[in-house]
Amino acid sequence: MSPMLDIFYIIIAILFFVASWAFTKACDKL
Amino acid sequence: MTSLGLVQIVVYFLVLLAVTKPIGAYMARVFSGQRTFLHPLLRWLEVLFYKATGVREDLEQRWTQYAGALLSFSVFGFLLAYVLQRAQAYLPLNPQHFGTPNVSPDLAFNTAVSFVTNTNWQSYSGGESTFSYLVQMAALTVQNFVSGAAGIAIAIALIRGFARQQMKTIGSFWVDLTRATVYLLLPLSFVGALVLCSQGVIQNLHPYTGATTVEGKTQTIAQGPVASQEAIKMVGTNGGGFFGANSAHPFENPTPLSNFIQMLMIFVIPSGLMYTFGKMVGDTRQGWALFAAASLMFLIGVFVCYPAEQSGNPLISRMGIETSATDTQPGGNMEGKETRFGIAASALFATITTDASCGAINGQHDSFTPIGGLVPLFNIMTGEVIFGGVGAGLYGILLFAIVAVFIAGLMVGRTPEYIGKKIEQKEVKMAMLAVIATAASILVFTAISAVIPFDKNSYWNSLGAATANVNNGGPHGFAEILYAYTSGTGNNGSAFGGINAATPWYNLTIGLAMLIGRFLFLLPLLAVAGSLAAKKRVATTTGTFPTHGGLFVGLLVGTVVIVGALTYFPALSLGPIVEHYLMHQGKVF
Repeated sequence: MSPMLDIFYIIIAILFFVASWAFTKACDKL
Repeated sequence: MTSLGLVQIVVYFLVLLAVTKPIGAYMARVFSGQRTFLHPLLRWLEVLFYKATGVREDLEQRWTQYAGALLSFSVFGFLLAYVLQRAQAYLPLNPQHFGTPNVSPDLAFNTAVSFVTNTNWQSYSGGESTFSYLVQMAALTVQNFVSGAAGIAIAIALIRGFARQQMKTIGSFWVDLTRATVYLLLPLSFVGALVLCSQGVIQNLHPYTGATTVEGKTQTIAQGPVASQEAIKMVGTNGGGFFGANSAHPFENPTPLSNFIQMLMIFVIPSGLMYTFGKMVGDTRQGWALFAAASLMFLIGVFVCYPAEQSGNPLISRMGIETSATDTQPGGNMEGKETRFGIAASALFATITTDASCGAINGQHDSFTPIGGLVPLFNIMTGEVIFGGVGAGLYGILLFAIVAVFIAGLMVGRTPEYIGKKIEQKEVKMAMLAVIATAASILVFTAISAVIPFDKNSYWNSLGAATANVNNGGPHGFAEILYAYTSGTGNNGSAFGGINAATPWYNLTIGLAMLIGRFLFLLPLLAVAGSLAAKKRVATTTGTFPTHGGLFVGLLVGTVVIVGALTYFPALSLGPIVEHYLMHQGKVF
């Protein structure tokens, strides 16, 4: 269970940073 | 209020005023690349960083590159902190043999996010019973330095946006990060740690000490490298204590003098940065105007919180118990406060730590009176722009300055200007995006947690519904949930107390709130920096609204308070405000 949870939480964080980068690009175009 | 309490507050403010200009001028020199008195001592270290990482000191970045560097640096910091926590059982400097079970995946996520975002919300019951010395030093203390330095870097980039004209770049994130760490945080923390050691703060790597109490019971006294973490915890406005009791613990904050020094350490950089702003844009009056606005809001907060705490709970005085201060007792509300600090120093500390995004505590905010507890809560809700966190306070108040001149422009029908830059659609859109993102995070997460059901013993919240985690009912329980998400989103990290947030639901959602509060707030402001740097500076005319006078200060304070009040008044009404009135009717929670 734990390794799957580790992967889950790491992916959540990485997804947030990827979304933040997309947000940055969107702000640049706005 | 007592005369001794008033003297403490006045002396604190005067000392802060005295250090603002020297530290502000020093930072202006550091971030302009000029030589300082510390260069002979530390320049080699700065150069070593550049050589080791391949950073070119003369290479500047567009705002998107600056943001990309910050995001990639933060991802790396998160992963390192996460892995160190989860692998602590297999790593050295772990004399207490803390293992993987001490840190669950959701707790590791929450803690890594917390320290990377400069929040230092501590979901665990105390670092002394959770983390090895290696984790405390290599994961938490290192992040205390670099997350604080990253905040300062963003503020400097925004200052350059105002100071420059017709330029595509706003500086280099890597160079700003390095200079903030080497010339500012390291020396201040080093000196601060020595001063704190002189007051009795401990600094060692010993195993914990066993002691037998007078009752014949065994007690474990935690040890550790406390002073080094304590200094950066304050100077970097991080707030995460070595011990669970934070600055109420006698090994972290042993004396009234160490308490005074710690409070000063919280504000020294944020206050100085306001002067740095004025210096770098070529008009120090602009910096003093920001300082005046912050000072006004700070003093209002103190003089609401302190009298509320000194008055105490009226229900107790109705029982015939003496609650006024006398020669032999402090009077007022002493619940949750350390006797060595008393009411004034506790109220002052609570106001300062929530004005800044520090989050260190020397008393339990949950035990404050409703109005006393409302002040820390509202301080965070203002966006922590009352001096604020290192860097975060300055870029936060500049956001409100943009909104303030926009409102002033609307009133007179003229394109607003600030520091010679026209404030147009892009800047206002970005400022409002930052405000809305943080407000949405606080209110939406609080609303969901106030109603979301979970099965008892479920993975996400083993206690059942998310409201089962609060220790108090009614409006006080609601305030505990509201405070948790406000503290997380505001990257403050202080806990109201009274809520068990160490469950996967709260660890995940408060973790997300911290990420939103940090990055969705600062990225639009970096966009503003990029936009402003590309603009021409317009000449001052008779129609230009002066932004260094009392009128602007009043408008700025009004904007901060009104935006905060309009956004959060309904939520505050359901919490501390209704609790205050119920208390006077004899009902407490």
